[in-house]
Amino acid sequence: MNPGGQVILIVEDDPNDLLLIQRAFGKARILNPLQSVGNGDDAVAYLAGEGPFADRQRHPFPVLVLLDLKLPRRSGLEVLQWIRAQTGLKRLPVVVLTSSKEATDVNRAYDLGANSYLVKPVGFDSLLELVKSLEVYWLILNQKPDVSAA
Amino acid sequence: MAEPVSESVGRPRRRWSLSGLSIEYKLPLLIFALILTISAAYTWASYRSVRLSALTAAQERLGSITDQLRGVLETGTKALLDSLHASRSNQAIRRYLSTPSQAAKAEALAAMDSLGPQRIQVVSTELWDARRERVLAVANDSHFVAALNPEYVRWAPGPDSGAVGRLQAIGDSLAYPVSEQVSAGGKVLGWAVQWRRIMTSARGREQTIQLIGSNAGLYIGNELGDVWTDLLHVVPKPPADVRRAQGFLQYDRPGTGTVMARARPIGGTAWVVLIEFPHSTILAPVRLFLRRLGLFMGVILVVGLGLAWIVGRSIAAPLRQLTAATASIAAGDYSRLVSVHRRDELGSLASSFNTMLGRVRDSQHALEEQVRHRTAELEERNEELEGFGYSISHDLRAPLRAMQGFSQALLEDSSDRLDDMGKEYAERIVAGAQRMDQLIQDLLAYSRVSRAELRLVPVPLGPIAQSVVGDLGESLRARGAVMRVDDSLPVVLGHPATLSQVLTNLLGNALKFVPADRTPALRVRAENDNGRIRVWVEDNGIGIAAEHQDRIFRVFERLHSGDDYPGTGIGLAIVRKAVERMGGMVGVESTPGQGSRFWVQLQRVEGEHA
Repeated sequence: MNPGGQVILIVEDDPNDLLLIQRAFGKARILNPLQSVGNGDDAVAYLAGEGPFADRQRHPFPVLVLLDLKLPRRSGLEVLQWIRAQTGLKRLPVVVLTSSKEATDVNRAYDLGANSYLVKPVGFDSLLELVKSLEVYWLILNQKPDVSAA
Repeated sequence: MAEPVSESVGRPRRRWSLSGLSIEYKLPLLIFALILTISAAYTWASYRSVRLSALTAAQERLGSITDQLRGVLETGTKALLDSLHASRSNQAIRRYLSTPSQAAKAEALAAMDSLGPQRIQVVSTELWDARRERVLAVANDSHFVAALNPEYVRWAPGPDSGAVGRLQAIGDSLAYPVSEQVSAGGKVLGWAVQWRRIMTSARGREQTIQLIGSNAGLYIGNELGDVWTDLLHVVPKPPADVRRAQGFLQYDRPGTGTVMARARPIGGTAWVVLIEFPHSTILAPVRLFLRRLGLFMGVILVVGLGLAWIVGRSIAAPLRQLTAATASIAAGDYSRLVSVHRRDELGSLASSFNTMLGRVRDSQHALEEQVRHRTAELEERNEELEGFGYSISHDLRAPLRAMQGFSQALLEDSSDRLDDMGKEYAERIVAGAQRMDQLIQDLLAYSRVSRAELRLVPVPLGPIAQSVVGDLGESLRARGAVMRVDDSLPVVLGHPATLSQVLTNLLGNALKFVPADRTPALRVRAENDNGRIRVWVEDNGIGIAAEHQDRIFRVFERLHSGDDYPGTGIGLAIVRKAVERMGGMVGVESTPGQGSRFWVQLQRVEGEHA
């Protein structure tokens, strides 16, 4: 783990999916450290640096958020809405990674300010491809904005 | 719809046909015609009978008057003869006629002078002998006497009877001879003849005519019909031969018009009395009757016409109201009640109409309420269904990802600890999960196509087909397929993404069902079909037996095992549902072993041609 690396925050409630995503990052040899939370409230707390996530040494501020939509307590869309409402966070790149292809979900996510919308593939090979392209685009090619924790 | 109705009621067209006329005008017209016919017939019949009775009454009166006047005249002539009567027993006259001598002549002249009144009526008094030669004359007017014609004398046949001769017209005057036989001892000695002039005063004549009445014409003439007088002047002969006529005559007298006439001979004379009643006088009361009847009928006609107009109006006005109310109902306005307050059939029609209107309005409201309720229910169901689809897409696929992902992880990370059988099992888990994912995706696509709101727009089929063929490129190349898309495919009414899915499914299907040892030959073409567009997707595949051709469009219907031709059995169901949602139809023509021709019928865009 590279503590000085750029952290990616994965908001995912399904441990299987989380494990598969983490494996895909490993397979793709992406060295960025991964942090994960299992529900919407924790995602908000992590980004706000509150409660158990107050220590930024252990829980550094992420450069990219992978956000599932269907989450316990607070849904992914609500989390997205909260992020875009924070002055320090509104430029944080958020990629929605979910299993829903429904047009209503896609449109709503973009309306609320998602930077990208990706559908979880069933096959692992596809997931691997997706994660690789994620790295290429968001972590290498994309020019990062200034983002600071509140 | 409402426009022509109100026009035909409000303004009746001017046509020469009763059927298009408003009742308001039709009824008075019919009643006018009816009254006119009846009154004309009645008037004519009455006129005929009144005229006949007037003529009969006039005839009766004419008959009796003529007979009375004849009696009066006969009595008058007898009195006339009496004045000569003395001559037959006068000795001086007898003597002179038996032996004419100068002495006897003087005595005879004196006797003649004393005969009868010496009035202006008497023109001359004469004595004629047995040989009917004039032997002595005493004249008042010798010039006038010279014109007298002895042929007009009617010789008295016996000693006890005088005779009045024919009338003779001399200039403007009329004279007639009266004779008396003079005899002695049975021997005829001669005749005393006196010529008299008719000298009636106009006033006397007027009085007589007034007594007769009816503006009657009174004439006396000779039996022979040669001379006629109205007792003042000589007048022309009547235009008919009155002497032989026994009954009543009718002829036109110049200056008077048509007259009814009767003539009777006067006994003891050569005269005929003739009385004429002018038709104008006889029929005057008839004409008066006719005039009054006409006036009466006219009044009835006007009153009838007025009443009929009122009645027609009272029928037409509520009918117009009903029609207007019906028109407004047709236009969707149920608030317009008919206000006809009458106790007759129209009143009950209006109240029935209002009742019906109320019912229709109530049931309309009930129906609208029901529709609202149902719509809300359906919307709720639809939301539930969407929620269901959402859950499927999220929750059902998550375990699949785990199954597949970890099986693959097992194969990759722990392959050194798996034998061949273990690897095959893991591969089968991967394949099963993939298949189930395909199923879920197809089901979601089917559900999306079933309930998504499809806004139909004109879509050019050509570019859509080309893009679908482009997307399928890899699969087509893999099979070495010959793909042919006709040029100039038409523009149809549809939903672009859905149309694209339909073509994708049909072409994918076509490609899939060509046996592996055959080169697929696919074709997309379109044709006009009774104002719609029929798009054909043709292949040279295994074909479908006729008995299965309906089943293949149902969800999960498959004719083959997944080993031969893999698939979920939803693709064609999606096609059918999508086409139906775009207002079209779908079907297939096929010969087993030779290929299938799937068709999709879509709506044409007006003005576009295939």
